[in-house]
Amino acid sequence: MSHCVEFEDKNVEMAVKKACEELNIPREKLKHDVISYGSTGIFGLVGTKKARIRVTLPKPSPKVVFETSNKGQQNENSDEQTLESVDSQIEISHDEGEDHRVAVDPRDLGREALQKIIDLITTDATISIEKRSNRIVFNVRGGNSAVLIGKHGQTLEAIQYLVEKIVNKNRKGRVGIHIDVEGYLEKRRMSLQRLAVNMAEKVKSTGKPAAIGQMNAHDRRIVHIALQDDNMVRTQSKGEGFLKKLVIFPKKNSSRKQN
Amino acid sequence: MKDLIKHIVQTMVDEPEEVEISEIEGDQSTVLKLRVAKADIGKVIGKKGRNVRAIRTILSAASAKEKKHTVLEILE
Repeated sequence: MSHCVEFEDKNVEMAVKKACEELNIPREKLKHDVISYGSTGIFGLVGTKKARIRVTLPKPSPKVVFETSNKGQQNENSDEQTLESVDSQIEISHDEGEDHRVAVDPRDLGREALQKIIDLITTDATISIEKRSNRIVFNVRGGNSAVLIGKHGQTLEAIQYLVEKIVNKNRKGRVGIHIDVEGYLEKRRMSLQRLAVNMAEKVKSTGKPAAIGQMNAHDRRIVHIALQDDNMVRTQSKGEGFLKKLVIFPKKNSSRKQN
Repeated sequence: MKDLIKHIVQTMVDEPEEVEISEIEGDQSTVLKLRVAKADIGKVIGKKGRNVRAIRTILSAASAKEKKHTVLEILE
């Protein structure tokens, strides 16, 4: 008669994986019977059941079981240790008290996170940091800047968003993060302002509203601000989701007001 | 690639030890399967999918240099 051990986890696959890890047996050699498949219940809230499997051990010796399960735990521990060394910054903030969390310099944290992301996308890019009142500006130079910026700057926006998330996690206040690649932000701002003024001229001469499509929040803001002092037109965002249209309307009574 | 995504996700969630990623590589595309603690799924996805969209954008930029596609799936 062979020895049996039961494992349970969220589903059968995970239970098998857990069994393999704890017993140090490759998956192909693991002999198991499924006792129950488990269920996630209704919306994963009510009636969750764990999956159970029974693993048949090749050698029916309780001593072996004890040793191997210990080994499994050691492996897990060493895994955790390597993780700790990888994100030492974050681990420090986890280990130490609340007071120390704030002490982690957002510049270092942001730089580390940004460098990791950038290194994955391109090589030989360097970062310089500028600190302005309550935000931090990271300037990226070198590497393949076209890929870093992406279509309409969407990769840049994504990187900026994630770095901001990482920096502001475990912080009391909020720091703004701006990431610029070879002066892209400024270039984009200039070209959008030029576009805004041109469109406004067109609206004024035709008297009909005109739309600029597919704009993200940052781009729309630039156009709104560029045209807010122009009292011949008004601007409005239209549509749903993260990319909206921006419509420029002529103001009908503007001439009357001026007279 | 896998390590970076794991690192990013771990900084976003409350239970970083529960983050698991497996990678399935094909000729044309790579599939990353991400598993996190149940309570953390929302944090990874973000408001209207904003977080996961940012991660996917970075993934596609990163895999562009290898001329491959990378798909990120969140399992529950």
